[in-house]
Amino acid sequence: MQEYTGWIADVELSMERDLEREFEVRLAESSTLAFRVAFGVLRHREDAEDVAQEALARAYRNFRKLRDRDRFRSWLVRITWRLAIDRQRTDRRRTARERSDVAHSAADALPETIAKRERADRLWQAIDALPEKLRVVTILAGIEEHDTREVALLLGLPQGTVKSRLFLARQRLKELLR
Amino acid sequence: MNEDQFKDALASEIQALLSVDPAPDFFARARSHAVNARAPWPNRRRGALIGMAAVTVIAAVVSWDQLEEQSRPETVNVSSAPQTTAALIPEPQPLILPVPSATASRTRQSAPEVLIDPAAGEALRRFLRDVEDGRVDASKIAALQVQAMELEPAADITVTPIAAFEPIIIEPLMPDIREERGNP
Repeated sequence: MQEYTGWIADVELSMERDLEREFEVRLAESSTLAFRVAFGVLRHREDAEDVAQEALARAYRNFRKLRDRDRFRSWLVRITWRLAIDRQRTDRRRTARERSDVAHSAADALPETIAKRERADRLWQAIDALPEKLRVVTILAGIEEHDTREVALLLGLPQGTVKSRLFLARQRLKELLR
Repeated sequence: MNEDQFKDALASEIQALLSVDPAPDFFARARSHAVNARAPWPNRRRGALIGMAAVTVIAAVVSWDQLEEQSRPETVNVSSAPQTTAALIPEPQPLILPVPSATASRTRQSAPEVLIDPAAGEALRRFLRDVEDGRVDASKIAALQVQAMELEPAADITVTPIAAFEPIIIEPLMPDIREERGNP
């Protein structure tokens, strides 16, 4: 009996180790994606790193519950997106202050850099003005050159829905940037 | 710029905005943060086992206390001076987990206690309930009790002699030696 329970404990331990090893691999693959998703919402490096770290910690805690491990990336993207949106809502005042700091330091830069920054600011403002459903497809399509199929996989949506949302988002951005 | 060109330019602009890399140590920090956020799985299982063991021990102690309480005969505190006999008989109480405290044990020790067997207590309680409900005529019982208690006056009691026997006289077997010798 003792041998049997010992054997079960060994098997469990090796399974745990396998899980941890698998998580390490997923972490290496997806940590940058989590960071960029958070950055797409917050546009602040340190905040984005904090949110991505928290999302990865949550993913680690619940990794065992995830039955379909191939969906890890989409799972992580959704966790990160929600955390980033929450952080953005609670931190709006601070973000506004930091943006004004950035604008002040940009005043010292070269004219080309200023123009570029202004263009980037306008684009970010336009993206921020999009409804959340359109914003998330725009950002995910802009990260790591994801195509509509990959964005559909990440969001768990049909590809047709992603295509139409992306189309609508670009139309809106075109109107806003004119 | 036509529609497609604009969309391509827009897409590449957004890509450029989002092609930001985290700090070089981000991966290491994220890894340690994830691992430190929660103990590794084997430790968690160990924690759960310790928790279960603690709960089992507490449950065992509580149930042992309950068993002890049940096996101990019910007690009535005489010092509380109940007004009726029924009040002497403890009513069945709902199960309350005992809370051992120094004050409680001291109070229990200082008060004198009358021990009543639970079965006898229950029988007496039932009898009193029957008397109250009129199923048992208490006056007859009371009358019996009066008869038993009223004794005859002591003067009227005649003690009959047990038996009357003649006193037994034992004759000496030998004659008096002094008389035979003629001693003065």
